[in-house]
Amino acid sequence: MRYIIILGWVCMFLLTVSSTKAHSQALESADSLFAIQQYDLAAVMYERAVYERPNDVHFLATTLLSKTNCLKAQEKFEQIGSLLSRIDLNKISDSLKQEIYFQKALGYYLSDRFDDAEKNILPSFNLETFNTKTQLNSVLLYAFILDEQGKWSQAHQVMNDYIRNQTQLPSLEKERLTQSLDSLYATDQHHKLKSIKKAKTLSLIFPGMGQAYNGNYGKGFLNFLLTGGSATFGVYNVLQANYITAATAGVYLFLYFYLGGANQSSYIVPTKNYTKKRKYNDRLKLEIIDMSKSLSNTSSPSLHE
Amino acid sequence: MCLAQEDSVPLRDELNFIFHLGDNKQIDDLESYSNQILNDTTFYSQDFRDSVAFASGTLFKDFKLQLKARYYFDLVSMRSVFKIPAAYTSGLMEMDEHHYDKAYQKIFDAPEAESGILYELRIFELAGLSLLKKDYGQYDLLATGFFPEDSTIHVELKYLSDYNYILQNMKKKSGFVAGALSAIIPGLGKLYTGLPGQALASFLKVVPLGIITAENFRNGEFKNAQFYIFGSLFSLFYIGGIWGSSISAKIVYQEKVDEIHHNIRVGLHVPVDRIFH
Repeated sequence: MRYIIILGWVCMFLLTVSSTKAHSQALESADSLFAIQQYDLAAVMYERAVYERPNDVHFLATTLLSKTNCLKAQEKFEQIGSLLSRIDLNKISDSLKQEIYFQKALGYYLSDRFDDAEKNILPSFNLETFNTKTQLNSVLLYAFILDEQGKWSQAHQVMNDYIRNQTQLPSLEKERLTQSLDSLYATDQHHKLKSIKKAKTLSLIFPGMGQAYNGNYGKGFLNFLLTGGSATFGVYNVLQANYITAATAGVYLFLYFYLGGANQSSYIVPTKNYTKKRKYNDRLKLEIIDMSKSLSNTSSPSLHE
Repeated sequence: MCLAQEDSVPLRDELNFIFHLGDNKQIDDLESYSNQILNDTTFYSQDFRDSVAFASGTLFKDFKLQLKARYYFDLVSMRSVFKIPAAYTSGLMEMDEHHYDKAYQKIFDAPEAESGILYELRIFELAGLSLLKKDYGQYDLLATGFFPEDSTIHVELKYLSDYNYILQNMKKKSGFVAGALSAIIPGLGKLYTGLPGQALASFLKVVPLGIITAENFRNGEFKNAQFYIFGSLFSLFYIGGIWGSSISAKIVYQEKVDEIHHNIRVGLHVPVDRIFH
C-alpha cells in the first residue's frame, strides 16, 4: 500500500513537471513567433499554452492578453471581445481585470461596435485598485468611444475630470490643458449636424429646400425642377381637357418627385453628418492624444498606435 | 515549421487540442493548425492526418463554414475509416448547394459496402440524387426492387417514391396560352398560371396607361406628343405583360419542382445524420 501511494505521488510529480514544461515551451514558442511577426502561428501557440495548462485562470488571462496582440497585428479586432470573454473575471486580480476590460473595449472600438466598447470600459473605472499606468489609456479610450457616439459634452466632461484629478500636475499646466480641451470641444462643429426631420419638413414646404439645407444644392435644384415640371404637366393636361391623364400620370409624377424629394433627406442627411462627424472626431483624437503626452511621462502605446 | 515539438507528444493530444480550438471557436487557429499537420507528411502518418482532416471538417461543419468543411472532408484518404462519413457529409453539402452531379460522384466514389445499413444508405442516397438530377431512369434502376431493412431509410424511400411520381406526372401550364390570355385581357395570363396578385398588378398598370393613351389620341390624334409618350409606355407594359405571363408558366412550374427538390434534400439528410452521428 505504501509503495502504491509513493508511486502515485511520483506520477503526479512527473505529470506536473511535463505539463509545466509543455505550457512554458508553447509560451516561449509563441513569443518567438510573435517576435518574428508570424502572428497566425503565434496565436495558435498561445492557445496551445492555454490548453497545456488548464484550470489556471491567471495564466489563461495573461496568455489570452498576449494573444490579443496577435489579433491586433492581424487587424482581427472583432475577435478580441469573444476571445477575452473566455476569462472568468471573478477569479483574477483587479489590475488584470482592468487590462482585460480595456483590451475588450479597444477591440470593440476598433471594430466600430461603440456601445459594446462603452459597456466594457465602464466597469474598469469601478475597480478599487485602479492601475494608474493604464488609467490614462482607459480614460482616453472612453472619451473616444463617447466621441464616436456623438456624446461630445460627456467626453469633454470625462477628460476635464481626469485632468482636474491629476494632483501631480502643476496648476498652470492643468489650466492650459483645460482651456485647450474647452476650445477643442467648443468649436461648435458637432452642433452643426443636420437634422433629418428639419430637412424633410423643408422639402415638404418647398421642394429642393431640404437638400439645399443639407448643402446638396445641385440635388435640391434638380428636385425642384422635377417636382415643378410634373406639376406643370398635370396643370397643362387639365387645361387641355386630358383629365384622366392629369388625374393619373400627372398626380403620380408629382407625388413621386414631391414625396421622393422629402424622403431623400433620410439618407443624404446621415451621409453628410457621418462625413462631418468622422472629420471632427479624427481631429479630436489626434489633438487629445497629443495633449495626453503632457499628462503622462509614460506613453500609451495601444492608443498612440 | 512543425508545430508538434517532440516525437513523444501523443497524437491523441494533438487531436484534443484541435477540439479545444473548436470548443473555443478559434476558427482561424483551427485552420492554421490543421493545415500545419496536414502538410507535414514526414512527421504525421496518413491515418493521423485523415483523423485531423475529418475532425476539422466536422468542426467547420458545426461552424456552418461549408466550403472549408468540404475541403477537409475531401482530404480524407480512401483507405481511412472516416472516408464513408466524410464522403457522405461532403456529398450532401454539395447537394445543399445544388451541385447534384458532384454530390452524386462523391457518394458514388465512396468505399462500397456489400450489404448492411451502409449498403442501403448508398443506394438510397444515389437514388435520391438521381431524382434531383432529373435522371428518372437511373432512379428506377436503383429503387426498383430495393427493400431496405433499416426503418428510417425504408420510410424516406417511400417519400422518394411519391416525389418521383409527382415529378414525372406534373403538368406544366402552357406559356403560349398564358401569353395569349394576357394579350386579350392584361393580367389574365398570370391568373391562369396561378398568380392572382401579379395579375391584378399587371392589369392596374396596363389598363390606365391604355386609357391615358386613348384620351390623348382623342384630344389631338397623331399631332399630340403625349399620345406617343403614353402610347410607347402602354405598348411597353402591354408587351411586357404578355411576355411575363408566358414565362411565368415556366417559373411557377419550376417553383413547384424546387419545393419537391427541397423536400428530397431534407429527406436525404435524415438517414445520414442518424447513422453517422
